[in-house]
Amino acid sequence: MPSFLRKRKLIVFLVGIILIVSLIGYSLRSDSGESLPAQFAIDTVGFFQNILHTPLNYFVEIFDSVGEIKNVYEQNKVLKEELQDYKTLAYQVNELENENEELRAMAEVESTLTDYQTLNASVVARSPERWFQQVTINRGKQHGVEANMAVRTAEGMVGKVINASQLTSTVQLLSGFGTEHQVSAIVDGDDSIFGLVEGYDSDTEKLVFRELTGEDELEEGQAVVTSGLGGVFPRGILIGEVSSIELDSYGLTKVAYVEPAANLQDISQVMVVDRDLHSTVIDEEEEE
Amino acid sequence: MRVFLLPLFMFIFFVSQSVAVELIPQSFWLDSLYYIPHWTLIFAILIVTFYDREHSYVGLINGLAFAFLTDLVYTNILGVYFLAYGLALYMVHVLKRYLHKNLLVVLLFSILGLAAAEVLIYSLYFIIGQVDLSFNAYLINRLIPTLLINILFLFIIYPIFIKKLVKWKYELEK
Repeated sequence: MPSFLRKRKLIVFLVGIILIVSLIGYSLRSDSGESLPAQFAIDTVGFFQNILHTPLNYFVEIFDSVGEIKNVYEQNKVLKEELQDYKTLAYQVNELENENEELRAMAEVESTLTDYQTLNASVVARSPERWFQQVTINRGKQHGVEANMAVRTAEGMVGKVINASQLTSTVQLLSGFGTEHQVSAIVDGDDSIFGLVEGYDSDTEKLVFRELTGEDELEEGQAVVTSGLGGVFPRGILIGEVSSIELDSYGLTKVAYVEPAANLQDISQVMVVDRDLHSTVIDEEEEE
Repeated sequence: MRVFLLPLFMFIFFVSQSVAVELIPQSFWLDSLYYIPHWTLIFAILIVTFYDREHSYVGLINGLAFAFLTDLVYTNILGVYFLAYGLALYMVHVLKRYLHKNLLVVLLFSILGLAAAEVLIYSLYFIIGQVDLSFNAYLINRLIPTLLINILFLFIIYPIFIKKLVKWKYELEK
């Protein structure tokens, strides 16, 4: 009898290993959304995360606001000064927008890469496994979120939707971007420098931007924004600021390290960005 | 009823670990140190040590179920947590025969189980290419903080659950 038991254990063990290897292989291959049961599981967990998150967040916010009261006076002084500038700036922006609209109407341009709609969402949970740098937001397909949409905060881009379930979706943060999540970007300057954000360097905690045009005009402090040429994101979402420039390992092109504009550790409110212009990636999925 | 009670607690820990990670601000910790809550694993180790008898596998099955859920919901790659938690819990299941059951032994089991699971998860992700951190950096920045935070969790739930688990075990035997 013991020998039979031992045999059974061995068989269970071997079958388990085979199962796990095939599971890992399967999940590495498929990148086309989650199956229906998986969506159901994710939504159920998301529902409870939401229930737990709401009251806890309330307490955390009370603690936070007690801490903030100390700084209110100093902040108020600075903000008042800035408000004066802001008013004139707002007026100018308004003026420019109107002018832009008129000019577009004259040129018969309907919508450009820069136009997009946003959808507000709050972050309810973060993946405890930090290798992945994913957060869960409380908006899903029912609210109009689709996979591959960009996600931003008021400060700048934070990531993109990698998986939309019916009621929640999973957002891959910039700090977990690898080569499979390249972002077409431009460095804002006199001449725009085109390039790709190729991933995140976890040692320096910066994004890696590789220029494609080969002109020597990269400078520290320049802003990096999305170009919209990747086919999914709109143009003009701030990604970050160039903090240092290096030659790449072949010495042919330059690589810039980009400090993300948004704080990727402490995110509570985000906006999901849906661009107005037709996107082959997102709109084709909808038709399926 | 009892059949559903343990999975219910597992589920509560499972959900709360992600919410906890989101709500505790990172600045509260040192910047490059990461801690990963493995609360479901800790609770499963408690079940294995105090609730399971020689040939019952309640803790192992619960641990595996929630490991699979972790794979599904929190990561993109199925099977990694499943394997790591499974092996860690089976190790505890085998070891508990040789030792008395008290806090020190549970502490030992937790440290062993956590370290085994964490290192296994790290090496699997490393092989797949998900991770490119060197082992030394991993050891200092992730493994040690993770161990500490989960041991702290063990000390919190140990006095709450231990008597109940033992009581349920004897009720089951009657």
